[in-house]
Amino acid sequence: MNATNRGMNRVLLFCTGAVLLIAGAAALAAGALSTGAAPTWLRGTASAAADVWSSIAGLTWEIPGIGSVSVLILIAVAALVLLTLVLIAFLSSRTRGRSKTVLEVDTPGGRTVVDRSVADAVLTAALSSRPDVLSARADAYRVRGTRALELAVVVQPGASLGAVVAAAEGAIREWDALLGARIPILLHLSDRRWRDALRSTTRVR
Amino acid sequence: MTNEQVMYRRLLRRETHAPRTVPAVVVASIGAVLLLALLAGGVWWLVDEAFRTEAMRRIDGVAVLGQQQALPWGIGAGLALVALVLVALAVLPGRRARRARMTDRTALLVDDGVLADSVAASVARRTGVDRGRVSVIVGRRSVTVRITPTSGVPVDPAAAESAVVETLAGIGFTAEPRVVIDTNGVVA
Repeated sequence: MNATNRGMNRVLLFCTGAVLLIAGAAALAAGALSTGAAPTWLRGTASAAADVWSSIAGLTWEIPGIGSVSVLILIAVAALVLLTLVLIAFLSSRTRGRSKTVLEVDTPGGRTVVDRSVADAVLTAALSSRPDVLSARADAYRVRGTRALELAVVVQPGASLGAVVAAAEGAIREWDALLGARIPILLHLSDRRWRDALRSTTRVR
Repeated sequence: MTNEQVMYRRLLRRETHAPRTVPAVVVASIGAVLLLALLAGGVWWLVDEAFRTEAMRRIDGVAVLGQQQALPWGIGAGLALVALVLVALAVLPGRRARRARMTDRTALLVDDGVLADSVAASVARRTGVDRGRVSVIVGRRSVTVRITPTSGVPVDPAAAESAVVETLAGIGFTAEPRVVIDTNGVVA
């Protein structure tokens, strides 16, 4: 759970796919043209593309002090720099949204900040000690400007899920009473991960 | 609808669909590295005479290779294949094997594997079959239970079905149960 913009992921994948598709089609067209057995529509398109290319490649821009520079190269360099910056910005904006704090209250007397670890301790204490729960963990995230908690519980295989959910909601009620404010909570009964396979499937109390 | 419910709805929609962050980050990293290499190569080209002649020789070599027919076909087919995979990743919904609903207080998200474990245990308890001989597949709309009975001991499919329905209802989900009982039992 986080606030990463997932639409951007898909836009990036789609644009890259479209560019590669065009490049692949161009390579296939080049292959077809080199056999000499290309259909006429392909020849027409290729010659039109060649005309456009030669007309653009001929364009130059006189820069005082440097001389004439091909407009095509200028555009290519600008596009390269811009694309690189956009990609680096994209990469650095991925894992967004984790929050260290759960609640911040400003009062005239000062400022109170509730840390994520408090939520983790209060919410998971009652759950982790249950025999039908393997592990529990609470994390805080910023979603659209508000803070939300994720309470992830890994249950013992075959446990009664209703009982686990009831226990979790009991822990959440306690947490609400302790915090004095209602913040959104995502309760996630999650699959065992590979390291949970190392845990014992029975618990002796 | 309150503010919290709007947020829960959004959270649950996000959590039940693949984020596509990993493929996007892989593509963006490869792209960024290639573009930086291209920029560095361009600057080097402008500065170093020896690099320029060497690069020209290489490019000519590639151009000669391009005259062969197999190469453009291979490159084109490979690029088109990668492009199709990327477009599919971008367009397909990418549902994850999870179920979601809102309770009074929380947004509840349950992985299908957890449901399958729970259903298998309750079916085994209800029908008296060993847990190791009950397999459960939780799909989007239906839950398929496959039971290998003990030879000579009949298994009641209705009991298995009601166990499935009750287990799911216990946590607030519904699905159509499908019970398959193997015709060949095992000796146990």
